[in-house]
Amino acid sequence: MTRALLRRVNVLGLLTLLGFFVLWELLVRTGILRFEYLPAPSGVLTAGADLVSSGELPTNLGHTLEATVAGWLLATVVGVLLGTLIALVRPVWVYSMASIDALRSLPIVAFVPVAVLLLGFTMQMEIVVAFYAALWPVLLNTLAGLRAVHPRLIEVGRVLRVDGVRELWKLRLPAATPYIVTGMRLGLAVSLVLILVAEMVGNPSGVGFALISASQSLQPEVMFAYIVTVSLSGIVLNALLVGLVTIVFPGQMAAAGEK
Amino acid sequence: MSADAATTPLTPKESAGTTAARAKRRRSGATIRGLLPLVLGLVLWQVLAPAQSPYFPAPIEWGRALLPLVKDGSLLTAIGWSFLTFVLGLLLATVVGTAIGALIGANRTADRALGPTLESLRVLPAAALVPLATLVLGYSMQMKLLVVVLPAIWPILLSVRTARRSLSPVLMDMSRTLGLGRGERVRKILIPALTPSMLLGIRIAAPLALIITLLVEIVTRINGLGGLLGFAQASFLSAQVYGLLVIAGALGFLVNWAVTHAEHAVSMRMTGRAAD
Repeated sequence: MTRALLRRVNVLGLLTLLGFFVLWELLVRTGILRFEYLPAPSGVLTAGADLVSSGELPTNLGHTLEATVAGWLLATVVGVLLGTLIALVRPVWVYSMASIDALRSLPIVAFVPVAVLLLGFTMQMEIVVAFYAALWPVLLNTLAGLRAVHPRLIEVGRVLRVDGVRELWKLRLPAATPYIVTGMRLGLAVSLVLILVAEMVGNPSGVGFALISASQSLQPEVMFAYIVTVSLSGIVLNALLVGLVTIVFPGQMAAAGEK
Repeated sequence: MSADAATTPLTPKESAGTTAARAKRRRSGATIRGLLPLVLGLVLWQVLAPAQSPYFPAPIEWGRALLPLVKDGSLLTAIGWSFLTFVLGLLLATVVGTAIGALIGANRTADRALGPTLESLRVLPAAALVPLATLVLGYSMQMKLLVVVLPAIWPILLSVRTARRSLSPVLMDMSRTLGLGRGERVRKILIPALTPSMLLGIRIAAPLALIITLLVEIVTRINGLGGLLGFAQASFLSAQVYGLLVIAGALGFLVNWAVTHAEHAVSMRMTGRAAD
């Protein structure tokens, strides 16, 4: 039992990671690695603990994650609706796909200045940026998923007299679920990055702004602490999504080979 | 982060039986019809936009706002800087990603040993790195490159790792039987075998590298197209912001097009048929 568990945990890998941190600490302490603003891991830990106990980090992280999740959920709803419409209604496909292709090759980040210009330094601006960033992966993956539904599945549905809305609800959307989830996961990662940019150049709040002000007040430990927490929260959100989906749609995810 | 990784899968497959020429004609027809909403939107914008609108300047104004930048040459310089950063970043990411990918794909122990470290580097959001990198490396080209290279490595590294792992051991054994030296083995067997997966990785990494280049520039405003965009936004030159956005879009389109065609051409040469 314990041995099986040990084999699953990548001990060697974790040791390497730990060794990397120890080496970093040693190099900084002994002054071999000398960048003016490179803190040692121990310094980052203390800075992180201070930020948590002062409540600064939870507040900023909460703000950033709130905006991210709001924009991302909105993008999921709109993306799935639009994707379904475009995939299933042939004229809509013909008359929109090239426009969508042209719009999505706009580098998303270049949209941030426009959003700041139009909406100012507000939370709405952040949510719109997160929405726009997550919309494309969700929309395009919904499209791909719906178009990848095996024709035989639809034929079986026809034989069983499943058509119209029921066909969409009972056959097509369930078959496309793994794709949609992939789109949502990618969208989540993109919106988190874009929210940070929006907070750096626009709305002065949240983790993005905290990073900028820590940079201006020359506090690299604080920045490392924020970077680590924001990465971790990205992982946690992603894991939550995947966990939730496997519980709610166990069949669909199993069919896609995702556990 | 890998927005474009997910956004590639979509051209409807042409149904079998149509000749290539007809398929091509049909596709270009669809492209024109498909662009209608975009064109219509821009025309409506032009017609309906109030004169001197601070938020929604008409598309003609965009071009007019760009003129001074074109005249004093700053637009061209900016595009040059962005392009240089992008190309160097992608090149570095390709070299490092392919090397590490080939190494950990060949050796299970190395893979397990480095896995968690690489994984934890992978989840760092690129945007969060910018302020830190400016603090440690200053407002320099090295800083820009570091921030661009870090996220752009992953698609290449992962793709090469998978390819190296599934490389038939017979290929390596055979090269030993033939008595090829180490250098020859790399040049004649490994590189040709791994090139397609490397190219696939580059195709996904290229749009990403462009986005991150603009991101660094927008946040730090050092130089480049992103820098111009940041300045235009900070000084509320809305028409110029829209104009620069269109140029950034054109650049993105160009990069996508070039990378896809380059991949196609190389795989044609290498295998005598198209990839895919």
